[in-house]
Amino acid sequence: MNLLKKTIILILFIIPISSIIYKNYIAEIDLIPESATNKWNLSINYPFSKIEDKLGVSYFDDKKEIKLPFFTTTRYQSVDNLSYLDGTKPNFVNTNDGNLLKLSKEFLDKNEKLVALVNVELSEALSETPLKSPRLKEEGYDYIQKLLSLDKLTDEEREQMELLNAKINIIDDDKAEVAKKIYFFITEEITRDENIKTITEALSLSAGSNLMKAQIFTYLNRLNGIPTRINVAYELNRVGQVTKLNPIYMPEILLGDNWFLLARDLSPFDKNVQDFFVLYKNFEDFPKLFKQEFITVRAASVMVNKVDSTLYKKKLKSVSSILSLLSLHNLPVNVRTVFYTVLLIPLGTLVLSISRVILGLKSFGIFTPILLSLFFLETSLTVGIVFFSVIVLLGFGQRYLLDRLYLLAIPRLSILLTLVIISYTFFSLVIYENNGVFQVGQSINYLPIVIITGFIERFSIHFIEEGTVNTIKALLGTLSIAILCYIIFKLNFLKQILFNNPELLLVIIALNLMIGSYKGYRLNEVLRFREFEGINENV
Amino acid sequence: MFSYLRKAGILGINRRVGEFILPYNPRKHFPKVDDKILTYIMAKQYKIAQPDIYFTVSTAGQLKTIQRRLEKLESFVIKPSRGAMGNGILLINSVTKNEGADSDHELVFDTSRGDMNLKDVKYHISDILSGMYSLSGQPDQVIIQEKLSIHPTLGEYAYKGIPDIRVIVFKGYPVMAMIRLPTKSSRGRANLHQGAVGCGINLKTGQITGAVCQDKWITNHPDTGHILEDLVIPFWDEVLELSSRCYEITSMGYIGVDLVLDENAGPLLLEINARPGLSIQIANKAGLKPRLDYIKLLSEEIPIPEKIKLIKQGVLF
Repeated sequence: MNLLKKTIILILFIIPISSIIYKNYIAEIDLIPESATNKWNLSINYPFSKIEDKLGVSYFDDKKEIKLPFFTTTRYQSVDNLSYLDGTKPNFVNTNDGNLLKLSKEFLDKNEKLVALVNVELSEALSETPLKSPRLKEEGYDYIQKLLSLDKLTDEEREQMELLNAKINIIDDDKAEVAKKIYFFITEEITRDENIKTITEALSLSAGSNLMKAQIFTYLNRLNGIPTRINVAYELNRVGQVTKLNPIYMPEILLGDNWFLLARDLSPFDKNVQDFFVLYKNFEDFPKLFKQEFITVRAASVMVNKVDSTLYKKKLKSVSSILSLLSLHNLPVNVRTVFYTVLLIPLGTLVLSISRVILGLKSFGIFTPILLSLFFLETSLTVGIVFFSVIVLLGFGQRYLLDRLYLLAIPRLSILLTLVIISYTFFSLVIYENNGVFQVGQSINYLPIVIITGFIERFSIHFIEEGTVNTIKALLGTLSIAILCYIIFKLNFLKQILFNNPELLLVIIALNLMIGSYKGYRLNEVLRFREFEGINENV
Repeated sequence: MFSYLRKAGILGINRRVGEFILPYNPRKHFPKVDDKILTYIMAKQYKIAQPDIYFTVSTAGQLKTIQRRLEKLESFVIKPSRGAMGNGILLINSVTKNEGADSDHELVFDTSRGDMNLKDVKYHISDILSGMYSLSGQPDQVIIQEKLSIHPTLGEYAYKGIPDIRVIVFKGYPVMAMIRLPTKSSRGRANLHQGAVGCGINLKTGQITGAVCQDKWITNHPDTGHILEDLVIPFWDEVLELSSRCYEITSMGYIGVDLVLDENAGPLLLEINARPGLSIQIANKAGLKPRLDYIKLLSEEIPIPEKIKLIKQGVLF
């Protein structure tokens, strides 16, 4: 190796290593941000004794059933493993405002209380498009009327609200702007005081409980013709042991077809939405029940698999403005997700270099194995390999068939591509039907399809030209490299290290420079020249 | 683990690329060998003996008139201009005219892949045009070339097909040679990957020193049963001289020269390879590395006859 190459390699090692030493020992920043919990076990407790007293009115309908708030699925939270304490599955109904537990009168008479268990996963929303309300169109008018209703207010309260509305002096055609003004007014002008629990009091003292603030916000919006409801939520942040949670009220407005939750980034509703489990989306359906904390929710954290970006960013900022400026945590959530994967690709190329140059594995094309491993990452390994095998088999068969039809190359490739798409469509259907058997990670996007098609063309030519044995060798080589990459890509630790310290990519370049200068034997050459074993004569 | 490879002086793929191909074969000269038509033209300028090219096909449109042109030929070879490892080569031993049949079946070709009609042949040509056999998959040209009459000495040893001789030439010195004999399992093709026999050749005499088939050493041809070490390559001096001269055409230091032996004309240049394979070492039961290291010390400026003289004196082994 000449001096220039050695110097470059040395520099490429020194820069990232000194950066990491600086971060870790001098600036004292962790290489990976602290973990944050995003999976929870909740127990929702419904004590039925004196339920009629607590609720005041009878909630039983004609069928002698009662419906109680149970859980809600939103873009930020998914719920599964619903069961009662004894393991049986609850009955529930789906409404615009969340899911309601269905219980018969006999059941209530027999049981003192009921505990339901749910498993909740909270996530940062991946897309910035708010969730559409799915059932709005069916019930439409009545539902909107409910969200605009001011009937719950007394005449006096209504008068006060109208006065306040006039005082804020909202003149704007854009409803989003109106809602924003109201939001800022409440944030700025009404301080939080949990002891103030009526609207009149709150308006005269310019202070109110979380619920009061949410209600004032709601009525002001309704006065301006904006459908509004109040979410009943429980904060799941920083819970270690089983903890009893207090409800938090978060208003949500409907603009056009889309719901906007207003506790996103600003106070008074304080925290990020991602830290809340929303139990039910309309406080007004069960006001007494929530006010008197009839339902109690307890939570325990169960799983740790994301990092606390916000905290890490704060830490970086306090240490060094340059580091914080360069941090990938500044990117929006969805872009961040992309970069977690993108930064792994160079790692894949390193695996590929080692597999080919040092191990001597054969593969179709150079980057096909890496692309293939990304395909597995998109679909999960089982589905990926099954689909891949199906496609390879189809590739064989079709190629043989198409060869007899004397077609020109391009239309032949087009037919092959179309057949792959058809197989893919069919395959998706089968997976969808048997969701229990195959675990589908995310939707398979179009790029891997193109990869697979290109792969088949190479593969079938290879097959005709090089014969079965060599093709299977290359096929196995491609698959092993792809699976190896997949396993490495799956290591959360590596993902985090690279994302938080992208300067380490320079090390990968240095390692590739070293592998590129390797002139020794490949592992497979031991096998290839095995006939020389035992021969000592030197020519 | 690698000790016996090192001891035998085996040249591995990484060293071949890093120490010989990259430094001695400048990228800009690659087209000279990757494009067979270009090689043909350049070899012609240097008056190197080679099989005639009757004509080339470069567009699908030319397929319309191809019947007229093929009818006139008795035998020929169809090959891609940018192919590798003998892929896509079709030998036509004879053409028979089938009077009265429809246009697709009027001509019957006796080929290395069995009988074919005009449609089959056209299809093969258009496959080549579409780039199916080219090194990088880009559209290609088709060469219609003279089919050679196999030298009788070699004909005895080969199973169908035409044997070819590969000489590794480093800085203009022939450093190692082998002859590839087609077998039944290679379907008449002289390609070691496909099961042809590779025989190592004594550079001094042209005699076979040993043979390999599917990476295993053998003594007899698997199909014809001949003892391979009895074979002495005819025209050996001419073979060495022609190989050496290819260094001048290509300006590339490390090449594999492929030749065929014609009964009358002697050695004819088939093609030049800028990335010659390493199996030749197994066929010769010897590693390339010590020989290449020795040649590295020699001057490339000296005239060809003197280079050959040196080799024939046995400086390499």
